[in-house]
Parts: sequence; structure tokens; C-alpha cells
Amino acid sequence: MKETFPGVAEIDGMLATVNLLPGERVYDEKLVETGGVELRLWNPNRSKLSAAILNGLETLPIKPGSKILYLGAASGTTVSHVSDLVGEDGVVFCVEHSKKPMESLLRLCIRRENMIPLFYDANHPYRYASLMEKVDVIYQDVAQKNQAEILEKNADLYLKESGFIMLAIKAKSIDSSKKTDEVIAQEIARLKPSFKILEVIDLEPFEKDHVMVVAEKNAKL
Amino acid sequence: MLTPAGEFKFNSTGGLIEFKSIDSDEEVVKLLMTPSAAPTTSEDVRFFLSHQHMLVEKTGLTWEDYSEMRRRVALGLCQAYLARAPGDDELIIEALGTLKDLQKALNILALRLAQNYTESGVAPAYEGEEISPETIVDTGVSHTTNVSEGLARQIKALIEYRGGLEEELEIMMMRTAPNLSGLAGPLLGARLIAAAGGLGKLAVSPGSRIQVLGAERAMFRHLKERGDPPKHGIIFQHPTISKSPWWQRGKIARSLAAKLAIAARIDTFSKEDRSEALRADFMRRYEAVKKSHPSEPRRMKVVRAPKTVKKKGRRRGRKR
Repeated sequence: MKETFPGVAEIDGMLATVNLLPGERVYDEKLVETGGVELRLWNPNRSKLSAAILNGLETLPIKPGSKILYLGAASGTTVSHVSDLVGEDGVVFCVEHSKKPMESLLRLCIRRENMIPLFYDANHPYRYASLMEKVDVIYQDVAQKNQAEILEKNADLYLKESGFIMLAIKAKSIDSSKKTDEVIAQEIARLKPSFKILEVIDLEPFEKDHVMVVAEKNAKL
Repeated sequence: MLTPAGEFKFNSTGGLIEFKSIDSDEEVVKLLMTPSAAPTTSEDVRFFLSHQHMLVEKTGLTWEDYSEMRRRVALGLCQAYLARAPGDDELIIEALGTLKDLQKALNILALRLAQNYTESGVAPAYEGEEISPETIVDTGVSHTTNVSEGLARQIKALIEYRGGLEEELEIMMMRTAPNLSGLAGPLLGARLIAAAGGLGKLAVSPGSRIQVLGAERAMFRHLKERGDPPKHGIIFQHPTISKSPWWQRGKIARSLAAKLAIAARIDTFSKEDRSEALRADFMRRYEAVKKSHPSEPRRMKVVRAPKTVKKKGRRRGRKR
């Protein structure tokens, strides 16, 4: 076992995070105990962040104590690991607009004290302003056509100066008629005015036609 | 600006002028849910976000108190919103219904517009051609009456709205039912959800029911009186059925419906996008049907024993 990032362990090619609530499982992940610490295995087929780390991600801005705005939290598979990563001193603001995933996300938020559920549309960031604060990282996985615009709006309001973004792009949900590479290049070009692109990680073989982009907010001139 | 701790009022230069605390979390949740509680200006929001620690201190709370309070309010708010939020499939059915009515209204209005336009006698050039509202707004404004010009503008606006709604429906379908949309297309998928009365209901329907959804009249005629069972309902709109010759349609409809049932179940219970595999499976079967039944069979004369059910009224021929 070795530690790839603070809070992320690698065991026989599988990733794992330190369980914030020992003994509790979130989905059907395996629990492993080593040296008095309980780890939750992090399935790369279920979580794009895990896939990105396995595919050689170099910068992981999500650290113990970080404040994260997570757009498109879905039912909480990846979010639960992010919650493990930031630990008790961090906060994860989880935005999700669909009813069904929110029901299971809310159950998770009640158990995990560093998670805050926001049942809102990420297209309208002002609507959840009352419950927010400035964050270190925005993680986005929304699979919508205007995902670049959504990220822009949220980063403008909530991302600290020189904060980071992590963006999962699904080429097919943006334009299914164009080639994957073209769509991804076009989406990255959209980010360029406001962000400095650090990494683009292909998520094959875990996810088809997906990439993870890590970028830093440009300092205001 | 309303916050979990209470209400802040800022002046135009971003200074704090007033703070009103709110006693209970329940009260805050209630206030936040009223539409007028939305933050007033973007300056307020920006000021609140960048001076949050200072503002919280001024209320006499510690940051720990505040963040706990915020968490309680967020949980309460989320629960309250969940209780009255419509499900995704309900939103899809609503959008589909709106689209249908919109189309009806547009047809009526466009007809009226065309009539006005030709009756005014200024447009012989357009005779026989379809007159689009764009034509009237863009080219013929000076020739037409105020009435038809205004109408043309409204129709144009409605057409734009319809386009946006179609796109919205497509996005909702891709998100809530990726497998169904992948196999049937977003629009047909939405129609199936609406006909079944929800995604959950579609998921618990057998393929045979999905096959005849929307052909209830023919189905019951078959069950009660006589006549062949319907081969397809709404799924007829799928190009693999509507573009195939009649003798292949039943077979294709049957296998498409079976795959759609699987797709609906994946969408309801796992959400994983397996539409490509489903589509490949179906296309294999589709090609097989095409190959094994290439030419029109001779129609067989079927001699039916008269049914024993007593029939009421005039005997009507089967609608073809």
C-alpha cells in the first residue's frame, strides 16, 4: 500500500480513501482495514475521479480541509470519496437538480457532517448564494450541453482567486454528431479565457469518450 | 440578503447597514423558500461572499456556530423542496404535453395567418406556396395589415419557444433515461413514458405491453370482438418499423419492444448508459428479420370461427 495523494491510498492497483464514518458503506464498495485505519475502495468504473487518478493525474487540488463546490453530485458515489478526502475540516457543497438522486444524496448528507446538500439547478448559481461560501475547488460532472457556461458562472461567483476546477467532459452529451476529439478541443478552448489548463486526462478504459480537465483560475490582471 | 443567520442589508457601496436575526432554523427555511427571498443584486451576493467571516462575526456568532446553522438550514430546505418537487419523468410528461398543445395552436394560427395574407390580395407571388411567418415579418411588413403583422411576430416567437422546449426535452431525456433515449430516440422515449404514465410504470411493463402502448383501441377490439391484435402502438414511429414493409413490422416491433423494456428498467434502477450494447443487440435482430423475410408472403385466407361474444351495433370493418 502506498499513498498517492494525501488521503488516497493505492492497494494492488485499486484506489481507496480513508472512511470518514468507519463501518459505513455508501454504495457497494469494499471496506479494507490496514494499520487501524478503515479504507473504502474506490471503483474507477463508478467514479470518474478515481479513473482520472489511476490514469496518471498529477495535480489533485482536493486535499484535507479543502472547500469544494461539487456540481452534478448525482446520488453521491464520487461525492462520498471527496467527502472522505477533505475530512472533518473540509466542506463539500453538493448541487444536484434531479429528484431521485437527491433523495439518496440527502441521506448521505445527513450522515456525513462535511456535506451540504443543495437541491438547485447549477445553471442559476445565485439561487444558492445564501448557503454558500468561497471554495478552493469546483468539481463539475453535469453532462449538459452548456457545461462550460455553467462552470464559468459558478467559478465567477464562488471560486477563490487561483482556485482550481476539475471538469469531467462527456463528448457525447455535448455533440453526438461530431468527433470526440473535436468536441473536447472545442470545450477546452471555451475554458481558456478564464482558466489556465493544467491537465487533460483521458478516462479510457473506464469511461468511453470522456476526459477530465484540471485547470487553475486565471489571476485577475 | 437572507442568510442562515439572519438578514443582512447592505448600502450601495457595499457597507453593512442593518442586520436582523431570525430565531429558528424553521423560520429561515420558510423564508428562503419564498420566491422573493432570492438575492436582490449580484453586488450583494459578491459582498456577502467576500466578507463572510467579518459579517458573521458582527452577528455575534462564531464561524463554527454559523456553519452548523447553515448545515441545518440546508438540510431542512432540501427536505422541504424534495417533498414538493415533481419527479423527472413528470417534468418530461409535462414538457411533452406542452409541446403537443403548442403544435396544435401553431397550426391554427399559421392557417389564420396564411388566410389573412392571401385574402389581402397583396401576395400573388406566394400562391400555392407555404407562407411562413418569417416571410411576412421579414419581407412583407409594409404590405400586410397590422393584424397579420402582429400575429406573424407572435407565431415566430412561439416557433422559437418550441425549438427551445424541444431541446430542453431532449436534455431531460438524455439525463433521466439515457438508455431509452439511446434506443428509441428522446422524443419517442418521452412519448412512451407519457403513454405508460411514468418511467417507473414503463419499467414494470412487459415488452408486450410496450409494443402496443398507444394502440389500446385495436388491442381491446382484438380482445373483445374480433380482428387481429395490433402489431405496434407508438413504437411504430421508430424508423426501423415505419420504414419496413408490413410483413416484417410485427417481428421488428416485438424485439424492439423487448429491448425497450430492458432499457426502461436500466434507466429506472441503475442509470448506467448501456444503450449502445442494447442498440447493437436490436440491430442484429433487425438485420436477421430483414434477411429471413425478404419478400412479401402470400396472404393466407384465414377462416375464423365466429366468436361467441354477442356483438352490439353495426359490424364495422377493421380500420387500416
